[in-house]
Amino acid sequence: MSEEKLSTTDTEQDVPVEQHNSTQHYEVMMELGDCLTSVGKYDEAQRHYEKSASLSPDAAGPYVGLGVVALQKNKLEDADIAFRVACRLDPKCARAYAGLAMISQQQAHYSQAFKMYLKCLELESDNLTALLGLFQTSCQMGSFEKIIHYLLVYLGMHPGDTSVMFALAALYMKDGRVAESREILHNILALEPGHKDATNLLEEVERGIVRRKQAEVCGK
Amino acid sequence: MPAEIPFQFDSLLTEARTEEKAGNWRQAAEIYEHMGERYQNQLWMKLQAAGALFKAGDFGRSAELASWINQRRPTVDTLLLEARLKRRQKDFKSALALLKGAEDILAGNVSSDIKMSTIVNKYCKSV
Repeated sequence: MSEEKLSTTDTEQDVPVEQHNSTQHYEVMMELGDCLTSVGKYDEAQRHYEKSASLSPDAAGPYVGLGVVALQKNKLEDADIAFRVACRLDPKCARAYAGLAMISQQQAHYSQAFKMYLKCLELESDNLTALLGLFQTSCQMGSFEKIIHYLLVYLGMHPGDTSVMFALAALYMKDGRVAESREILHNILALEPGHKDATNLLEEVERGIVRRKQAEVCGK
Repeated sequence: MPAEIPFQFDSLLTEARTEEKAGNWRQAAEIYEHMGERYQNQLWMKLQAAGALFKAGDFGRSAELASWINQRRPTVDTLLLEARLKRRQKDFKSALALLKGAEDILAGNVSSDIKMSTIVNKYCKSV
């Protein structure tokens, strides 16, 4: 999601020692928080994010971490506050908008979720969480206008991502663009011959094409 | 000539940093590695190279170098770097052990002279 920072080369050259130590401490706390979140130790992770926030009060990262922890604990109000603080500290924090979108989605506020996922993708066009969230929200709202564009942008950067390719194929099919859907499904199966969902959807697409041709013949 | 060596070193260091500033991380890493081999200051140069390789997206080689340094003289920067690489590989247990080691160095509980195996042995049980 976000650009990972590395202090080794940057900090040694120009930054005073005290500031370097503080930056190192902040980065270690953040990394610990992220690792502990990954292994499901949310209380410990929260403590490390809080420590990170005290070390770098203007950084958005710790609040994103706290938001993620709160979201995992299903404390939506706390998560909402944390992500909003992150947005205020860094209005370009894509992960914070993704977090706000996830909260709205969980609360079935699909329109708001859609807006927040879009905002996230505007800031970080290859954010997979936002992309798949946008896809789910689009399905929940029955509106697919904008999502195709973002899926294409993402695939331009990650051409072999079959999960996103499949989402795009499904959307093309819903939009009546069966030839494009079929082409993508063939591409998925070339990459992953055992992709069952793609096989099933391709069958459906092929049946649709046959039905359409039959209807055209009957019409003539 | 031996007297020229410091100037050659400075010149190469400037060249490597210029490459870094231009975003040419791989070229910078190559220069650092070459300097490490040629001028016998391997710890420092390998640390610089590991950082540059990380930014170049060569995580495998970056991990090798970070691990090499951490086996000999771990620092907060190298422990953090190796932890990030472990996390990328979804090896959270090792990442946490490395980060706890970094936390201890920052807290002044552990001298950076202590070998990495001591840090890992100390923390792996608690994770």
